Amino acid sequence: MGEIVAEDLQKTFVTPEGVEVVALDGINLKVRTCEFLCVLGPSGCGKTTFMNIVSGLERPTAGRVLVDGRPVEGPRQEVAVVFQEYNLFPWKTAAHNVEFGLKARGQSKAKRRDAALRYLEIAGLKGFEDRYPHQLSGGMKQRVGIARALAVDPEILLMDEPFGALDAQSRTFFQEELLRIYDRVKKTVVFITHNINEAIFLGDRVAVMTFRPGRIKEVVGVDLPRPRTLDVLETAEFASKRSAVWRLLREESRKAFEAKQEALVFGE
Amino acid sequence: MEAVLADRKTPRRARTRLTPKACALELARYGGPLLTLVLLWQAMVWWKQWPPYLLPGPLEVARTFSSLLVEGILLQHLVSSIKVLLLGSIAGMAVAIPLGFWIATWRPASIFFNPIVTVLQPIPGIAWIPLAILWFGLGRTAIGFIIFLSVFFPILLNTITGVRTINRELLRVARVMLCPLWMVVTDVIVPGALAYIITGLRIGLGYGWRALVAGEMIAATSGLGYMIFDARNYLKTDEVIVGMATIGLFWALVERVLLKPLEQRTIERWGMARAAA
Ligand SMILES: Nc1ncnc2c1ncn2[C@@H]1O[C@H](COP(=O)(O)OP(=O)(O)OP(=O)(O)O)[C@@H](O)[C@H]1O
Ligand SMILES: [Mg+2]
Repeated sequence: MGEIVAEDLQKTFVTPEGVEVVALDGINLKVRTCEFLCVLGPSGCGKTTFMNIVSGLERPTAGRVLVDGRPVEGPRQEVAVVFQEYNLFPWKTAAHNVEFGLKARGQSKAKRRDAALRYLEIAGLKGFEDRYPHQLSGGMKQRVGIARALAVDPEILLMDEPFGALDAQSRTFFQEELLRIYDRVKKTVVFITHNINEAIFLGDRVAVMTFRPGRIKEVVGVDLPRPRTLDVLETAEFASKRSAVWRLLREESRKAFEAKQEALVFGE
Repeated sequence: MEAVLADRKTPRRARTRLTPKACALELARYGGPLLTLVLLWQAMVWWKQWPPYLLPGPLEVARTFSSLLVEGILLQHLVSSIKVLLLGSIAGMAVAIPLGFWIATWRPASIFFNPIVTVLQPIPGIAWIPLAILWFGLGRTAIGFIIFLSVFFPILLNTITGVRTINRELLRVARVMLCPLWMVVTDVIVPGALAYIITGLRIGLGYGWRALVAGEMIAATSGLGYMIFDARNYLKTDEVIVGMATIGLFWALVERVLLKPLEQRTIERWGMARAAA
């Protein structure tokens, strides 16, 4: 359970001025059950758009997404999301934030609390249950976000650049931590990032996206053994994967960069 | 890492509990400056030697205060005022808050009510007194109506702003979690708008209290405003000042034991507003 198939996904936005932006143009991708798939692409290539369609928050212009063979028509039980900017409820403690999805599913108070404590512990936040988000650091907030998504026991976990706001050191720490959690809970994970090292270190496969219109350029398999630790970063296999992916991504990053320059010159 | 995390101290609770010691401290903090004011007043009385009906001294007023208190008259008027205030403001909140939610979340309601609110809102509650007397006669209903109107608009406008400024992303979280509508209201919209709603309450209740006193001077037969006005008719200036002081002191008390703790327990605790120094 937890297989995702995207078929010819297209998404065109129309800006308020009536300009059409083709964000996704024919995404075909299959994510296997319990696979850790990283989606890698430059900023603005449509990663978040793709994730919103898979989670059911947005509808595609054309094409469809199947989860376990059934088309996605809206948010659904078996999919949980970790957002780019935490999105914790400031008025709920860490535990109550984690309980949110369970409360929405009508679980009893005691059961919810138990689950929340368990997942906070898995996320390394034992003892911080009763803190409010403003009393937590950025990394801790994101761990609450991860625990909140895990607590509903989804088959699929969608993560949109969850570590994007962290500094380089804590970032690697959290990557390792995430792998530890993944080895423990085994879900299908779609992890979005624009960081090559992160994608290769975490993923079973890395889907590289093109920049505008967004398509899947190539899916690269990463057969580094699990469980992985940061030592993997120093191996020759890692280095060769890294340069292979870098060659794929380089051109797209250049296009993204030029688009940004153009926008600066012509004033977007 | 755990050690590093544990080292981050829990931020000190901004909340000050009402222990006897804290009460004494608070009293001293208020007492000092207020006493200075009273001394200045006494100095004025000694210096100018005005007749008591123009400006009675603090001691005289204090005497009247205690005798009015002992006779129960002061309390009777205060309770009468509070009753009307409660009635009017509860009715105001009960209408303004749901209406605010509705206007903020449903565009047609916003389009319809926006012009109406814009025109009615600047009319002060007291300007409605003539109509209120015509419609309801002298007495509590008329005053209650004035309070209702005074409380209504600040709460309505703040509720609308509060709901509109809720972080959209949090609503998306609720959506992916398949959150039922009632829970979106209780767990996302109400707490998300609470900071503004409380501000609305603060402003609204303050307006209501002022409007109440003004209304009672004209349209009532009891209450603090009535007491002040009645005392003036008999040139009992000391009673006038007692009434005024009661109005101010009572509101300071409401602010301290009701409104401030409400903020401390909610938005300050959630880190949604800076604790006032
Ligand atoms: N609601 C919208 N209206 C118009 N254009 C949009 C809208 N949402 C996204 N876009 C455009 O679609 C493209 C893809 O956006 P998306 O947010 O999916 O990119 P991304 O890959 O997640 O970028 P980043 O790495 O910066 O988060 C961008 O060019 C963006 O400007
Ligand atoms: Mg994005």
